[in-house]
Amino acid sequence: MRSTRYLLSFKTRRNLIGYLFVLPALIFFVVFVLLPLGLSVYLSFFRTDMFFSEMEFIKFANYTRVFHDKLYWTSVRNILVYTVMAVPLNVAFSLLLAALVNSKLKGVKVFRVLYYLPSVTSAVAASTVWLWLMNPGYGLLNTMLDAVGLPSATWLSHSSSALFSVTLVTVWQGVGANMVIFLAALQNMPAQVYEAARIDGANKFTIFFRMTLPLIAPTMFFILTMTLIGAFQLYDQVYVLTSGGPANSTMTPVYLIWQNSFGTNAGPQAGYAAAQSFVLFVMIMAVTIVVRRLDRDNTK
Amino acid sequence: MRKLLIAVVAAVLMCSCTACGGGTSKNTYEDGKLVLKVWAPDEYAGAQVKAKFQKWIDDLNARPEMETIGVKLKFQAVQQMPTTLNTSAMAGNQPDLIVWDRFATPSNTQVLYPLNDLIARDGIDSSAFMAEAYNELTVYDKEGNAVQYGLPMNLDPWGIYINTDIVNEYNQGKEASEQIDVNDLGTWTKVLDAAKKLTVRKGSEITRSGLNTTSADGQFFSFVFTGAGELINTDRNSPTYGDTVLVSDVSQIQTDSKTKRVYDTLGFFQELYDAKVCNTGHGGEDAFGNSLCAMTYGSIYFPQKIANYPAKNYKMLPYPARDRSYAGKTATVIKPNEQDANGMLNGQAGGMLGGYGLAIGQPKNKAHRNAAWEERVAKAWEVIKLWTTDDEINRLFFTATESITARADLLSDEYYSQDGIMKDIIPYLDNYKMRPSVAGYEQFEANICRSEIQKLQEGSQNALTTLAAIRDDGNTQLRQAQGRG
Amino acid sequence: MQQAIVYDGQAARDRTRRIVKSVLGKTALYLVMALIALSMVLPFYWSFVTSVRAESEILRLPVTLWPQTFTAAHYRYVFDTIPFMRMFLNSVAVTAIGMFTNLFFGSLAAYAFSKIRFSGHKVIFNIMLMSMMIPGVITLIPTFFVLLRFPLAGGNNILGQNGAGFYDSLAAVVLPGAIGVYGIFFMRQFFASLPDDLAESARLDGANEFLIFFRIYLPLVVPGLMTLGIFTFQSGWNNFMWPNIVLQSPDNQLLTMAFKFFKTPTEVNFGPLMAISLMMAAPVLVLFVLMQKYFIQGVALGGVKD
Repeated sequence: MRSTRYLLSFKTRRNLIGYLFVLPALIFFVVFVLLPLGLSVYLSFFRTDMFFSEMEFIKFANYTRVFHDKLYWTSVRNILVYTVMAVPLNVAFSLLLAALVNSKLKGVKVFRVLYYLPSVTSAVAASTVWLWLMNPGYGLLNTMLDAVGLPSATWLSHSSSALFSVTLVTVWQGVGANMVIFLAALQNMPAQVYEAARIDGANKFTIFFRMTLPLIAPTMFFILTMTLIGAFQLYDQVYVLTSGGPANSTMTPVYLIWQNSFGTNAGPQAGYAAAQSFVLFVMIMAVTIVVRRLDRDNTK
Repeated sequence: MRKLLIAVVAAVLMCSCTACGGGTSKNTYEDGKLVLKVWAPDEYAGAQVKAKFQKWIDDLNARPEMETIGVKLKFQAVQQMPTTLNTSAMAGNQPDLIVWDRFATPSNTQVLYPLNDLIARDGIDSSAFMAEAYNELTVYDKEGNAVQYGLPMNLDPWGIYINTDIVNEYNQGKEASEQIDVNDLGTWTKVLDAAKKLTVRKGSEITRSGLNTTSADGQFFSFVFTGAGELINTDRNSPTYGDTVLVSDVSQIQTDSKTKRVYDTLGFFQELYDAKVCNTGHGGEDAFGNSLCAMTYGSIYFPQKIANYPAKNYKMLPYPARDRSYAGKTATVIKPNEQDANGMLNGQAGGMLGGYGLAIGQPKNKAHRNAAWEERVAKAWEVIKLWTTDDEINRLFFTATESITARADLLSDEYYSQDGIMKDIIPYLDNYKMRPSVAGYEQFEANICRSEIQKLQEGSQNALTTLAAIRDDGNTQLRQAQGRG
Repeated sequence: MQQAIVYDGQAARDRTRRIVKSVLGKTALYLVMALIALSMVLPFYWSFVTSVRAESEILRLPVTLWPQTFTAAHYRYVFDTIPFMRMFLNSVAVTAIGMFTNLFFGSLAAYAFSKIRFSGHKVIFNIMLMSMMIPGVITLIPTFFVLLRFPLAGGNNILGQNGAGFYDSLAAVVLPGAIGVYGIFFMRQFFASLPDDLAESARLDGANEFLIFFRIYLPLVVPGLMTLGIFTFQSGWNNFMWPNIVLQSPDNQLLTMAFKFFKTPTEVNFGPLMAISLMMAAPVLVLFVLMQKYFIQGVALGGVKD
């Protein structure tokens, strides 16, 4: 160690140490991110199966096929509808919960824990439980509807309600975590601001919409971005709850790509699955950029 | 602290290296016997069936014949076959003996070991097996040679289960002409009529379904077949081999015999849906088990599934024959078992034949096809031979697992004259048909037919648009899967 | 207090009204909160009830809120059907190793990116950052291929042939997520918020850089590590899609995959399914209740720091 200190210049030594520190991360990044990514790009120009056998170079044919694939665009439409339902519901509901548990009422901590409970379960566990709750004939939900004299709902068994039912599950499971993030933001809010507003005679709603909301806007955009990216990759819940049905009404791009890669569709579809996933990637990027842009405009 | 860290890192790296799947160049032996991995998909090995199958494997292991071969079978129920088979075959971890869902054969030939040489060497008589079941394991290669990928194990004819208690209750005090005869439900019209009659309503709510239509999307092939129709062009000399048989010209739907039969099936489905004979909320199998549904579709294993439910008295019928012809929503009654103008049968009672074969796993990577694997293949073949061609062993198999053997010559066994359900359906077996043996058919059925029929069921499209979607999307899917797209 | 009533009736009425209003408001608030709490907890209740009621009560009408006959049969069935302990330990191992590697190597890299400033650190970091937007599904098949053909693993030779690679081994689950970009990105912010000259004197004394990182900086980012730990714990414990592809033998599977044994395409066995769902969630619930404070703080930290 001592000898190297004199042999190498400070800058070289700093570089060396720096690289040494990032080396493990860099190796994993190259092997498990860049290399597969490169392979995936390569794959998307071929017709081949998951064995990489009988590879046939077909140029952009996989991409043109994506644009003519009805099922793929059905899945994209589904995920957009899902996003439009799930993200606002999730954000609004978690903000409401945060506002509720932000009060100084007695026992509010217990409620915090209860609201957070669903978030500690896995998507798979939560979905299996909801699959049973939503069973049209014997599930708790329809039993309760029946008890109060309301007609039974079809939940997951009809294409008109299946996607919404999936949304319900993800929102139930997702609000807890977002609530906590909102809660932290609310608690970081300077108290004087409120005092001043209250003295000015502003009512609670005015305070909330005029002061609180702008102050927690950065948190809001963070949650929005993360929830959006998560929403676009819906898979676990669909796997357990519906397998994409009925009538493809809950088919999502990620589920479809999985089917084409390793699921029931796997045949010579590996290259095509790669092309499908790149189109999805472009869409996610576009949405993320739009949200970022909004965020920037907002903070200006 | 640093030492500890290094130790942890070392441990982690050790873990990640030693935990690996391991190569397959060495075989494992137990008590001097070669261990063979047996996989069955969990669709076959449902809770009830699985226990029986496990017991059968144990019984087989204990036989002196197995001592002679020198193998021991280890059974595992596997989720997501054939995906798991494919990934494991890539790694060389494939099973040796596979209880193989026959209809998925054409799409998975890369991971199944061709048996032609072994069959020829040992002079296996293929005519001993039910032809449809045997042929379902045959796939034609690019040169047009028939390659056999397994020997059939059992037959799983599907049919309609009808609750005889509900029928008797309905018949009570009715005139003979109004009554339902469970032995006379051989046509579409009669089943439709029975479904309407057996449906019980309270106000607008259906309290008891006449016929479970929720799973009808899975019965499409059966009904097309009882309409004497087909879905896929399986003529290998035809330029449209592997496509659907459906014509694209709407004006020809009524005149093209093959398209007409598929169209009639969809028309019949639509009429069934419109008749509203099913409370979809009750579910299918559970509803039947709870006597909330008078008729439902099921495989030969259905009784084992509902063994713990209240419903005890029921009968299994083959799918009814087509006797209805549709123009739009208007139905005309025609005669089944008679020929139409083109010399094609109108319809016949029968249905879809499911079932499993016994196949041998083959690694994808040639480097994995080593001497150890060859030894296992040889032994696995001996087990298959024993299992399927030895009459005594085969009898042990079908009685232990309570299934219908694929050995046509053993169907007259007295065992089958005892059991009510099997006894009723075996006489119709000649009318049962395997699903089309082309690559991509399972995706076509699962992804195209099912979802399009679900749309028909939900009323978001009619028979005509359903037909068009099955044709267009189906052809695309089939061509892609067959590498023609 | 009483005097006020005597002297000013109007004020008193206002006061009473205010008290009544606030009591009413509070009651309403509690009611709303309790209702929401109920909907959050009800699924847990229902899965518990189903998991302990006799088979003959599930999928039967009428549906009752409380079991008529209690049974442990579903739990027994779960233990008979799957190697539960083995799966549980697999999940623990995968999660623990993932937490360790992510935390340690993640902070190591994050430290280098924010404090060492070697040439090219910006470019490398930005490339890594951009990769965060890539949906995981893109690299499904290639990652499988890489793991299968990993040199010298699972009987493979140096060129990655002949063997099974990491297929059907826990390493196949651990490795792709061992050092996540998110962890590096997350920890970098914590290091960046610390002053550069903390280690000045140590550096002058000739202390080596690893010790500076380990002894001086790392203890200061413990809150960040806790948070990242919770995140990696949750993502590791809940991981489903990838393990479902690369793990095959029951002995190598994770707890998240256990449900597949009771829900096949043709059969859904709700009793055992609810039992396994609860058993899957139980360890995390216990952990959560014990470490509640850190959990909630941690999640909050993750959001605010962005």
